[in-house]
Amino acid sequence: MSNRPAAQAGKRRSLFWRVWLRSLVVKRPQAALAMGSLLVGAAVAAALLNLYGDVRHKMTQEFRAYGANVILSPAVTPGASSALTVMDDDIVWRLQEIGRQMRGLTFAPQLHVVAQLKPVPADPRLPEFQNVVAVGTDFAALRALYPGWRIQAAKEVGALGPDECVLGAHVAGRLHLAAGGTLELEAASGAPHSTMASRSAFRIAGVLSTGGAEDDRVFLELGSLQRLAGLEGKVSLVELNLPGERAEIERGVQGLVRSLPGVDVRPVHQIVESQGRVLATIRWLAISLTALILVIIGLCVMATMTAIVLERRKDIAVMKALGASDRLVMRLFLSEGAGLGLVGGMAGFALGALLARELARRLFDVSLGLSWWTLPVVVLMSVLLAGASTLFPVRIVRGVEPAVVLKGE
Amino acid sequence: MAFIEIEGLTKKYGEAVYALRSFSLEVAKGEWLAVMGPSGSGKSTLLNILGCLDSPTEGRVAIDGEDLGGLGPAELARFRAEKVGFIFQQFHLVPYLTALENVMLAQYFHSLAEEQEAAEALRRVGLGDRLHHLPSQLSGGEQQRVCVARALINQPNLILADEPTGNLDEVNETIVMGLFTELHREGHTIVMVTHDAEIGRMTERRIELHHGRLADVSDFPAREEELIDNLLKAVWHAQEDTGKTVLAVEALPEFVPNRATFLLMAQEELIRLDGGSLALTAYGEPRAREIIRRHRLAERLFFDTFGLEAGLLDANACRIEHTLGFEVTEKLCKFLKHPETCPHGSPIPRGACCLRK
Repeated sequence: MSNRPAAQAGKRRSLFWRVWLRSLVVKRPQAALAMGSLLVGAAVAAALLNLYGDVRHKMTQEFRAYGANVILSPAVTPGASSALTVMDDDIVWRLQEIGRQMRGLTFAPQLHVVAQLKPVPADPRLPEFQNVVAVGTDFAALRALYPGWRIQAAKEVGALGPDECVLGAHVAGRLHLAAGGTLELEAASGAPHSTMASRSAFRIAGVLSTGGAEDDRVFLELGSLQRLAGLEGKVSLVELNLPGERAEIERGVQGLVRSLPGVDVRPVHQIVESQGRVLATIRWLAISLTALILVIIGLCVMATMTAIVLERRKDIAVMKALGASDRLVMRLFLSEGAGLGLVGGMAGFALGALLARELARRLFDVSLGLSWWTLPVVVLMSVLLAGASTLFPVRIVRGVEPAVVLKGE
Repeated sequence: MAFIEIEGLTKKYGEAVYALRSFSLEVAKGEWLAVMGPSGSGKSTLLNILGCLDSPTEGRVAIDGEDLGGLGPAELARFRAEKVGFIFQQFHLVPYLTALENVMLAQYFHSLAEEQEAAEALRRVGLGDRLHHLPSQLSGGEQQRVCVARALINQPNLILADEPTGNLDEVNETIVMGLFTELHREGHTIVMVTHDAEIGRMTERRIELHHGRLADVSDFPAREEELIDNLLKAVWHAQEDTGKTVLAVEALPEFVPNRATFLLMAQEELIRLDGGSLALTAYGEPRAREIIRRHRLAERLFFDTFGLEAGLLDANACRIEHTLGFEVTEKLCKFLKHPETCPHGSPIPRGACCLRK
């Protein structure tokens, strides 16, 4: 007895879905057209969303190849000598702590010192020495920041040993030096009020060619240059790459500012803004295309549903004559539309995922991972689109007068 | 209080077209009313207003004490679902639903869809083996019977039928009208639009509309009895002519134009209708004999006593035969000295006085 209302409600729902299914089956061509339209819309949306999501991730990774997007340098205090702009290298440990919380953070500390470079052995045809900027750094970390750098070497160059160096291509060319050769560096002491200089020989592990200022520099292991210049425990700057898009980078910058007092944190605006512009362009392109296609699909579904409702005016009139309210009949048609949206959305998602994979392979030569979050988004969008497109046609139900439609012959 | 009260009902289209004009009527509970009239007289408009499918321009309509004018669209839909059963000339079944589902649809709009109850309603109208057929797989009569089942499923107070047999052949018409007779006997109030006078004769009361106004109201009982007597005579004659007690209905010219009345006679057990054959019952045979006796005795009176020409005997006998009571008939037979045949040579059935002679 207590289950009777539930059983009755179940029977009502059962007949409702039987009528719903039969209505669609009897209007198979129109239903198929509407569902096909929704499937196309869902496929396009799924493909673009999946592509955008993955492209965004891949673009972010690609932009990392452009190098550091943030530079840390000693904060300039008023009255301080501009000749000695270094900071303690304990910033490295602090950045490592920060890096544990900020996935994807890469950085390379650097000490820049002007030094005299002499080839070994000396060549009487060439200048005795050349002033160069010597950069002491974690060369492996620097290579991670600039994966596009090309190094001519006998073997892969990673971290540099204490007596190894990498020479810029311009310097190597001027002094007729090559990988495997030897050079000598003499740097003036960087310690305050010190006039001592020290000298040391280094084996050329490789010749670096970037097309930029690095071609005029020589790179050493950080500790070696610190000892050579008498600047133990000091660095001139730290180059960082913060992961993510513009907003994330800016948040990261703010975090660094708070975490590193006394350090000047400067984002490299050209890189950050370029990345933001490119991704924004892709995003708006994807949204605009999707929106345009969905509008067209919506109009197509609206036209089809209008035809379905008009063709079934007599059925509507009979239902009303039997006591159906306008709301009940409208609900039947809205359910038909939503059902088509659900089926079209799911089928469209599957097709769109395949399309996205194929496009990624052909256009970007990458394998695309499926973003499963797009499934409920696409299906919901399809259902809502179908429902919205059906809202106008179902208003026809209100205007159906049984007395007129069912009259006579 | 009448079951249906219509006061000053007017339905106007535009400024000058009146479908109904100041129409007033009362219908009692359980009454079977026929609404007749030429095309455009307002019959269907009246039915639509009673069924809440249309609203009057002026006037008041109350059904079972409920004033329809005070109901909004949702309430009218509710009223239709609960209290009115429609039967249309064009059937108007949903073509992609089975017979069972069409009946369940009416249940659904009322409250719940109960498959067993719907199946029982279809069995009642003789479609127990057609539950899962689509309308396209049913004959016209079967479709109309589905409509009848659909109209009755929610136990409506009022059944509205718009030319229910308009699209049916005679056999199916007979079946459907038999259902209506049964419904009337069960106490349903039926308002039926029909063009067919024969169908109209089956109802308790007939109203005629002309140009939206009530033109005529008639009851049938007296005239119906005369017609039944005449048809019993026709059956008797046919039995005499053929020498058979069981007649084929095709052999009786009076059957087709009076098929509804024959159906009524079958319901009253005056005759037995079995497929295409017809016979007098033990209850109908004495009545037929009595009317034949009165008719032929009257002919004999006019011929022997008044010298009336042979060609005028039948018509004049028909005029007085219904007025002759039992005792007068016996006296007449005695007066005429218990004649054995009428002037045409047909035997005069013997009465009690003839046996005592």
